[in-house]
Amino acid sequence: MPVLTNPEVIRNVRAQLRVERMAIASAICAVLSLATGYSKYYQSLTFAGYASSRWGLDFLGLVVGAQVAVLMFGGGLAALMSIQREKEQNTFDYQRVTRLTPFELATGKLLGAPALMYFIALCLLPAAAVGAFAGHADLTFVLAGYAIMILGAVCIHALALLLSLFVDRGASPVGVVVILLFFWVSPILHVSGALRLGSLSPFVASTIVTQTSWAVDPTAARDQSLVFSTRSQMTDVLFGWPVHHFYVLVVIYLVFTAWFLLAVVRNVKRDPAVYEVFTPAQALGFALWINFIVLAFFPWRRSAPLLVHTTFLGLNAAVFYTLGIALLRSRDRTRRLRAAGARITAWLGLWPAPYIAAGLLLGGLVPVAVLQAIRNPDAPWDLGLGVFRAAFVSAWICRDVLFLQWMNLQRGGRPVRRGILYLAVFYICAAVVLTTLHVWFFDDPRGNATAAMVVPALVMGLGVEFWSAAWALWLVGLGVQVAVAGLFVVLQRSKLTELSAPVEVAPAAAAGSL
Amino acid sequence: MPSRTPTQAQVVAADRLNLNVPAGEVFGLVGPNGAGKTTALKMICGLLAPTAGRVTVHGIDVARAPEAAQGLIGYLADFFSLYDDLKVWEYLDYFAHAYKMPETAISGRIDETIRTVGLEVKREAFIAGLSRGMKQRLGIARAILHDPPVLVLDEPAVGLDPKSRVEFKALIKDFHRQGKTVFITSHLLADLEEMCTSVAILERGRVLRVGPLEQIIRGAGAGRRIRIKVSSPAFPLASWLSARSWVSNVTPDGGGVRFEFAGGETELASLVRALVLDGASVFAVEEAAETLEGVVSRLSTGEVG
Repeated sequence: MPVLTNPEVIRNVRAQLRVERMAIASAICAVLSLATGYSKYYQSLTFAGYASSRWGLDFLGLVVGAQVAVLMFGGGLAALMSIQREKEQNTFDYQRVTRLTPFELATGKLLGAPALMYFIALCLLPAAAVGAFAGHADLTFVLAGYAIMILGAVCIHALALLLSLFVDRGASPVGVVVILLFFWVSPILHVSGALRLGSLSPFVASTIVTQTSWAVDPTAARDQSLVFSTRSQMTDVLFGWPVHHFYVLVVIYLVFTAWFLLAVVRNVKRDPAVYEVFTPAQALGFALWINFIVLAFFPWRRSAPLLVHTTFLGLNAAVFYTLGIALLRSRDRTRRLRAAGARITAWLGLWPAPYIAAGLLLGGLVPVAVLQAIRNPDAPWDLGLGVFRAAFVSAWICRDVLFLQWMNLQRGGRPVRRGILYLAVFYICAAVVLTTLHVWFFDDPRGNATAAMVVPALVMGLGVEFWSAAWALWLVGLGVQVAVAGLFVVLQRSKLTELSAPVEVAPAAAAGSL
Repeated sequence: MPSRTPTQAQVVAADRLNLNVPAGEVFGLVGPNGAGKTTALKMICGLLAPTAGRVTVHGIDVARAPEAAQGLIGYLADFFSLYDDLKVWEYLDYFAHAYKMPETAISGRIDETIRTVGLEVKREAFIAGLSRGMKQRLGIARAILHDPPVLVLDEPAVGLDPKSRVEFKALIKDFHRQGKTVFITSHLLADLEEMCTSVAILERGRVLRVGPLEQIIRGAGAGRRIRIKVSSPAFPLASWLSARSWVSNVTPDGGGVRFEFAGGETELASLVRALVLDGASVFAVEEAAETLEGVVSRLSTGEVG
């Protein structure tokens, strides 16, 4: 079904773009454009040294920035409210029972919900055209800027739609709005401090439209400064090669949009009781995609190898911990799987550790291989230590996730939250006790290795010296993590056996055919 | 129909329902609040996934081919709202396209449906300006718009005025004549008794009784419900009746007694003759007509799931 004939797009356009509303929006945009345009033009006349054509480019950048803001904030909020409001009003079920496919419904909401915001952005287009004409802007950059604006907005809208789908009916979307605002304005979208990558914010469109050359900065690949800043801010370093930021943004926006849309399409027509963001394989793919971005744009030679490795271990610990929690199966879900014919195999009892272990080992060992290949003989580095740290983090996260999975099979409300609370209490108490007993000495290799058995995060700070001094004790620590993980596997299997027993319910008094 | 076990409250909303409803039935689901009626209807529509078992509509598995099955269903929820910022015809146009009706048929079908529910004068009106009853009619219009062979109506008469309720009942009978299958719930049991050809009585997610309406009503008690009144208060009517064969469940009722009688008309005549001969001054013998409401109130404990 083409986008323009998608009923959900048409419904949104009809509801949002009534003639009176369009007239008011157009008038406001026209007045604002005229006032801002005249202000910029007047500055060019009154300020000495302000090039006569410069006001046009400045005006163009300002208008494009305003268009991005409208699409990001207004459109994002519209997308965020779209499904949540339908659930509140009880209209969502009516959409779910139509013959619209999940893809049609999802794309209809993605492109339809921000209809008014697209119209406002359209109303600002004449002002942008005046700025581009007066500033002699390069048409290819103007088009590139608008491409980034649209793709970036769609990407944010897809994320907002996904959050909207998963917000409980009756829940306040305020928390979700805060999360979105965090994404919009946070340094996450300005990653140049950590990666050789320019800003991921769609606001970069206002910079792109004023560019004059597609040439990349050849010095960028050699730049090892703490904060990445190329001359035009339009050069990224992909596996050591300078590439134009525009192409990188296009790929990143498209791929993230595809991931978010996939999650919405998988779930939009499902019973909320069986929502599942991704299949385990898809979730693993998503986590590896995030890893790929970091791997591709990481300044490998800027820091000491162990510090680089710690960055990846930390990133993956966070990503796979989150992934592990997302993959947890409830009692209800487990019963459904049993009813669907799943047997209590070793695989089911290990859930979801194999995915977590595979992802963490891959995410931990690939950087080890890269660091080994490009190693600097003067920097402290040990291949065995790198492999051990990857294995240790993998065992630790699996241990915690297996505990949470076992908790999730318990009776009672919100077992995962209780499990996370117990873990937090355990880690805090362990840290306090170990510190009190002076086991956890920062300058004692054996104390450090012993403490890591209960507080595995200490492995993040494990260096070559401590490893050489207490490697046997660290291996015992790894064995402890594996043994505790095994204990939770046994407990989980026992719980699964209990759940597979027939439910004690008296047979229905009557049932039958007419 | 399968079981469903919501996770949070650990309540079995619909437990091992096994219903096979032939095409063309007007099938009523009856029971107290929380009996599992809405859950059952939502499972038919594919809105809720059963924990175990399957639902088929015209042979199509709702879980495996939801869009195909949902194309055969018209659904009206018990509590719903509409898109207030759309006009009446725009609302129906949206759903006509969402149900992928042939483009050429849409306009005519919208007009026909609007006429069916009596909203002709409101065709160009915004939904926000409609009364509750009109919105309910528009909801019904949406459910029947794509001419589905199966209608799933959850409390459809709520909000309708008396005249509209009469029209609505006529509409359901019309659907029955057209051979459509209608699943319907309502707390207005007298209305259901008028419309339904068969019913299921649910409580705490389980089926207490299911079958043709006539059979349910006839089969609910041991026999006829009879009331006898005598003009001599000293006569021990209840104990006299309790000692007779064919008689059960004797209960005082106003100036007389009510009881269930398993015999036929000849046996009833003999009973009355014996009563008169024993000195009772009988002045009234009535057979009380059984109703769906009476059957439900006797069978159901009113417990919610």
